[in-house]
Amino acid sequence: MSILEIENLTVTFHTKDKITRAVHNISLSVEEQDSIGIVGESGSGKSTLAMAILQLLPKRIARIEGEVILDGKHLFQCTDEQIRKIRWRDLAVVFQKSMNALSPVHKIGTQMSDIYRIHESKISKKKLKEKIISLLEMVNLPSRVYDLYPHELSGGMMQRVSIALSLMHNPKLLILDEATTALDVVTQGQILSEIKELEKELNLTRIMITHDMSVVASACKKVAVMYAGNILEFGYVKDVLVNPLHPYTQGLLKSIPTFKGEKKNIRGIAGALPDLSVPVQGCIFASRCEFATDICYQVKPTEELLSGNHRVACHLVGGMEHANVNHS
Amino acid sequence: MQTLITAEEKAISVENIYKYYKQRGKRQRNQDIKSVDGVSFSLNKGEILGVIGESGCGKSTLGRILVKLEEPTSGSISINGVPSQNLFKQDPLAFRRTAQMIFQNPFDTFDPRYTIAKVLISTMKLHHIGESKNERLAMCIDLLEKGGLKPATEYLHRYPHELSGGQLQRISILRSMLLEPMFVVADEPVSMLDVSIRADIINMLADLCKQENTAMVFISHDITTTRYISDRVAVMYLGRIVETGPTDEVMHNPQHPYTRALISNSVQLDSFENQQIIHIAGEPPTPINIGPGCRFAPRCYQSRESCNHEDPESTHIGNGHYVSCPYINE
Repeated sequence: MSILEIENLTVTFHTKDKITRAVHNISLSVEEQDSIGIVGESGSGKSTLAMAILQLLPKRIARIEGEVILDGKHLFQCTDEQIRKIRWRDLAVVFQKSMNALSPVHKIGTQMSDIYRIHESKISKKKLKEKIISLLEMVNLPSRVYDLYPHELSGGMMQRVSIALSLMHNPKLLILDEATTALDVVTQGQILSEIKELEKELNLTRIMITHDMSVVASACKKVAVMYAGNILEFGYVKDVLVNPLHPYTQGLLKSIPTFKGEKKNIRGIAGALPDLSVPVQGCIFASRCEFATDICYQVKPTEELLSGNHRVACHLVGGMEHANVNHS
Repeated sequence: MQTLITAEEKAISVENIYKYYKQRGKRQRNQDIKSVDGVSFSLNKGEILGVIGESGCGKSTLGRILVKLEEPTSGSISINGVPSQNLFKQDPLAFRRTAQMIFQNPFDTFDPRYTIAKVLISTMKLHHIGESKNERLAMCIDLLEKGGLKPATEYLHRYPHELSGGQLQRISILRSMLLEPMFVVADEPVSMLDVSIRADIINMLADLCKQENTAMVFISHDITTTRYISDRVAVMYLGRIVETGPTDEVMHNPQHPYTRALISNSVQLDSFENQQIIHIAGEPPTPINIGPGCRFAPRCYQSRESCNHEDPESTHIGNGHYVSCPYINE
């Protein structure tokens, strides 16, 4: 059963002199206990997508179209009050620097209890403390953290605190927006494996937003590759990363050096992200694509569904498939 | 510590560099922060040394000491056989021409009120490169086109805020290399950049080093990038180099428990399915009050009694591979 259903989600920012399309017509369905990684360059709209799901975008300039259905609830039709109840209960988020949200003048335990009480005020002090300490232990923090101030913790510990905070009310869906990016290699590795463990325990569904392919490779089941507000390729990690079909995914993977085997030459993708305020007629990636043909500039490619729920939006991929069919 | 013979042809040779920071306050008076604690290495011309380690292990401090942005507490550095201390005292400009640095954040390395042409020309003027304004301008154009910024006239009159991070980092690299230094330090030069342009910057840096025969110390926490660019790597932990050797030797056959943990924890794309992560306990420690024994002992998965009071010597295990751990064969 799918827990989150995103249908034709489009986010546009209306500013004084231009309209920027940050997210363009995205459909995605997240199954229960899935772990989906969303990768892309900066400016590709990954965070905007997450913020749109959470409805945290500034209402004055952001227009959201489409549907987001979380566990049967149409999020865009909810009132603010209803959304407040859904956040943290059903849907929690950890940001890249969510440790900055911790108050420097309150002890970790006090802050956590305050936040807990917002959503569930009927709990005795003693029980609450037990609950908080068990949360801290869940993310491998010693219970003495309860009585410490944020400045006494390291970056990794604070990020663990914010993960513990997000898990406080057993959310169904957890969104990690670059949650491990600012951390050290070793700490990142540890936190990733802790999250994977917790997932099994708590029945979590997880969306990870990152620009680091290797994080997705090690911690997610499925991956969506985003570019300039569009999802270009989607599928199981083992399909997409081993056998990438979209030229953009191929380019991204070619630009990362390998650890084993020969030192292959790496190269980047030439060019830069297109200006999102100018509407593009054809494929959004055409201007940077080395295989682009005339059709790529004129017609927007539709998503081709290949075997194993592997979806690719590229004329070349679809074309080749069709050619093969014609031959046989 | 390993001692390496200082030969004339070494681009840089570093011996027993220490950097202790004094703490203020009564209680902390006797607790120095041992940021770099006895580091020695040497580089041939055109050789690239990758330095990897967690944050706080002293790798950036080491880089800054090498280009004299920090004074070492003790130790000696000689560039091309000349002690850099003497050179710096006699002629700071000449020192700057032999040692250059490339910083992490390209947005912070330029004066926001200088155009790109002015940035490059003022560097040339300062170091008396080129005769006239026109000659310098022609050199600028040449330099930018060589660095892949074509057409150069497009960039000359722009301000830093009008360029992307990747373009700025290219210019920052070109500015350092235009002095034809003996040796550069690149401190996380690509970690601020987007994935899709990192590769080009790395290639450019590597090519320039090989062309100009410049030695480089490449500081990074990204293991795959370090493997790609460097000839040798040094793994740092709490101010010391715990393992060093030829890149693939260290990366594929890590001996020190810390290197093993570091490499197993940094997720790689080409082996994500059967990855075994070695867990190391605890958080990265601070370099204050380090005990007499091995620095890594409190977090090490194979530490034993003797590790807590015996400081391990760096031993050669063949092929230029040095490890500071006595129990590597177990």
